[in-house]
Amino acid sequence: MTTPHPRPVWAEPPGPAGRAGKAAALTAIAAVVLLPIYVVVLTSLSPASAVTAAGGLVVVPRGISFAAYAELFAGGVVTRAVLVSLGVTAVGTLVSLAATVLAAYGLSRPTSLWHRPLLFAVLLTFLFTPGMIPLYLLVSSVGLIDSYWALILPTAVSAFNLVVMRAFFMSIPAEIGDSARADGAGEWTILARLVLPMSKGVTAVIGLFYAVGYWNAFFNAILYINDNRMWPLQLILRQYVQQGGSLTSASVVDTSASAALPPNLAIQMAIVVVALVPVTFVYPLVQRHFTKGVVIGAVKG
Amino acid sequence: MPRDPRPRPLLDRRRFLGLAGAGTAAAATGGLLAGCAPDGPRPGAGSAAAADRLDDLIPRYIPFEGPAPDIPGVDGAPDAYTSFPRMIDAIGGPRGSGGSYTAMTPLWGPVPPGLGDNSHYDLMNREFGTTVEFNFQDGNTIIDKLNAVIAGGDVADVTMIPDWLVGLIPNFDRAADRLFADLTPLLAGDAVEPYPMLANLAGDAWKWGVFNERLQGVPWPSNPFAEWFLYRADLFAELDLPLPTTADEFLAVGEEINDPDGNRWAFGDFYRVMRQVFGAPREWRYAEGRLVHQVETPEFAASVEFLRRVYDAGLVHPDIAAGGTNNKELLNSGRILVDQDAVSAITEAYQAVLADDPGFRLALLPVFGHDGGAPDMHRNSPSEHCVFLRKDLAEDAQRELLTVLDYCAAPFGTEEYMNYRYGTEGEHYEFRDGAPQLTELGQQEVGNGYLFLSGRPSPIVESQYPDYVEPRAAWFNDAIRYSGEDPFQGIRIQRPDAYASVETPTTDKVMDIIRGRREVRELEDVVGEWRRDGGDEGRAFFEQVLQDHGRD
Repeated sequence: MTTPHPRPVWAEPPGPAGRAGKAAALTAIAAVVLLPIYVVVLTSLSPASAVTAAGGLVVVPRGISFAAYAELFAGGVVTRAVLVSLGVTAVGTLVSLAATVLAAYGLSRPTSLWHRPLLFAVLLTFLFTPGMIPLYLLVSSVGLIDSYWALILPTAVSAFNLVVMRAFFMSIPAEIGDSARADGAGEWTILARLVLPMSKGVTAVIGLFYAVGYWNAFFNAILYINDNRMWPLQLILRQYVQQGGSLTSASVVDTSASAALPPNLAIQMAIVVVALVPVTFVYPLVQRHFTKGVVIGAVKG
Repeated sequence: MPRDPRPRPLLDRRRFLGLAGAGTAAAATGGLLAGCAPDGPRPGAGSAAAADRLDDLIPRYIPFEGPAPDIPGVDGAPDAYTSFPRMIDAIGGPRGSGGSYTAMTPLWGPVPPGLGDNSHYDLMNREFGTTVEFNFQDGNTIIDKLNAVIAGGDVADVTMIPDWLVGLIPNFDRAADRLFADLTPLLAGDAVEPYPMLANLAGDAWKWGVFNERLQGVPWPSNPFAEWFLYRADLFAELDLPLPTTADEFLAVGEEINDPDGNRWAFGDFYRVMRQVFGAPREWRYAEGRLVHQVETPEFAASVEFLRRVYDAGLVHPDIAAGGTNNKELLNSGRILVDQDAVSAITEAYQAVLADDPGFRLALLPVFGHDGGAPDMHRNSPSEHCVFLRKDLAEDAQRELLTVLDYCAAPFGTEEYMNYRYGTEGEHYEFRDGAPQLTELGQQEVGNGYLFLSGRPSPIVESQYPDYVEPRAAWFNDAIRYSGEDPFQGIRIQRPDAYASVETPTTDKVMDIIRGRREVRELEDVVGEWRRDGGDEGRAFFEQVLQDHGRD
């Protein structure tokens, strides 16, 4: 006779009802997430008549049309903005990661120069953010108006990411560094050969945070970029979304036959899809690092 | 990182919700600038020179003799053309001297390809003899940008500021003085003669461009009314419904339309229009030596009570009752039959729907008062926006830019108008159904930018739409007779902060009452809170303005 392995009640396998319940709950949750995406994609692919007939978002398909996408990409403005956004995201993520890794490593060594006041200064930015106008004045005074760097430098280092990364670095036993130092390694070598390879997870996650941040950012461009040819994708797309609600001078400008056709809901939804695609694409690649990276930072912080 | 703190404004822009933005905009951006102005705006502090003084500051009115309208507008109502007349050349050749300038304007809608990739820009720059490069700004966040560039002092050579934003920029007068050119010597009186199209703009609108007792802004004369009831004329005919002439008939028609089981409701939202039907004033009423605000009037209370009855009867589409903003789609698809919207929304709807549904008809409900008498039709401010030139431009450069602004002021009926509005015939547009239609190239490249470099009269001209021009002209000529009295007509006023910021919470509370979340009798409390939280302060301020202008 075998004694049953003692285990707590909550670890018992659920009964059939429990399983069915869980399945239903999970299906419902998945549906809550997927249904809006389905509606968005379907509306973006619907002809104008279907949108009018539905009085809004299309749930039941009535014909497929790529007109919304064709109109979106006609004229080259959106294509150009995609390139701008990709460039800013790529360069920005590199700059941000480099700055964050270096700063976090420096601040994680208790013996480094001015380590406490510097850390304090970083933490202070959690509490006090500079206002919009001072930021603008600063960017303007260093001559970054109408420069792509204005989209990167003001937001290059996030204090949150820096603190998470520092916490991770601090969790690496000091003895590893000490032994490397005994072998004659300098700080750069320790960072590049020991610390970074042990921190792939957190680096990937924070890189993703930065990349998504750059990809989605539009407000910096509103403030700092006057030249419309330098606008990132999100800002261009925003323009499309807003026309529907716009009405400039409602009483005098009739949009009829002037300017482009007012983008209907289909175009707005096509925009949502375009803005979603890259992020949807990158997330799965980084996902496996995700939980680990964030939890480690959180627990050891 | 700063983010846009406000939800996307949908129907607002004008005064009402424009003010709604004031609170948040002030919270987001004004805090700093407010530090420069401990005393806040003062009555008559340069906001507006007294009316008689203004006459010397504005250009002499020299009407432009264009094609005669088919239906003339009376008393400031817009003229109407039932077909496209032969266009005349109003200006002649290019007048610029080859300068190159930047222009910052808002834009609602997609940004056209930039200079170098845009044949419409090339055409216009040839026509001007001057190169204009647009820096478009998202029309809904331009306030943030304006606050930033004004604080930083780096404005473009030409800056257009929509009128409903002027009041949201802290100490605008001072900023205008510091950054924008004084156009008085270049335009006032007979000095305007070299710019015949600018001379064709109405005097009231020009007065709206006076800041610091100097002419600084080039206006866009507005049409008298912004919003009214739109109704589905085709479905009204199909259902054989009468057009209401009183509030009770309006309710009865709604009851008849309403068919929730058939997925059809009577109404969308018409909060702002209904109080005009009940005769509440636009903002203040001056009676017996005292100013009474709209929300304090019995007419306003009656309109709130009536709207509550409409909601209680279930006549409002549930999307709208829940605060939704899809009223255009609901109206276009016939889910609702009556809605409040900009009077210009009809052309938008026709453009979107007419191709698929040739029988589609949207029209303005004939003007009516709640008891069959006269409503109080709220007038627009005289100008939609002001266009400013940068102060430190040389005088020659200012004159060159004024020729550009003059070109863009060419009214309907001129070749210049067709150029800046539609481009080259055969390339950017072609005539179809007797009206210009943008070609594919035109749709990509022609934007609204040039409209925002200046102003011009705005007649009713969309003769390509069925049942459009004549009824609309008749509506304006009728409605103009019911223009409400406004003691502050023509005076530009920067509102005190407390008064401006009490507007949004008050509107929210009133909406709570209308939508059934609070009782109608609580309106008194709401008005009391309004008085306490800034209303009375506003009254004192406005009474001072009346005195300063000798209108008390």
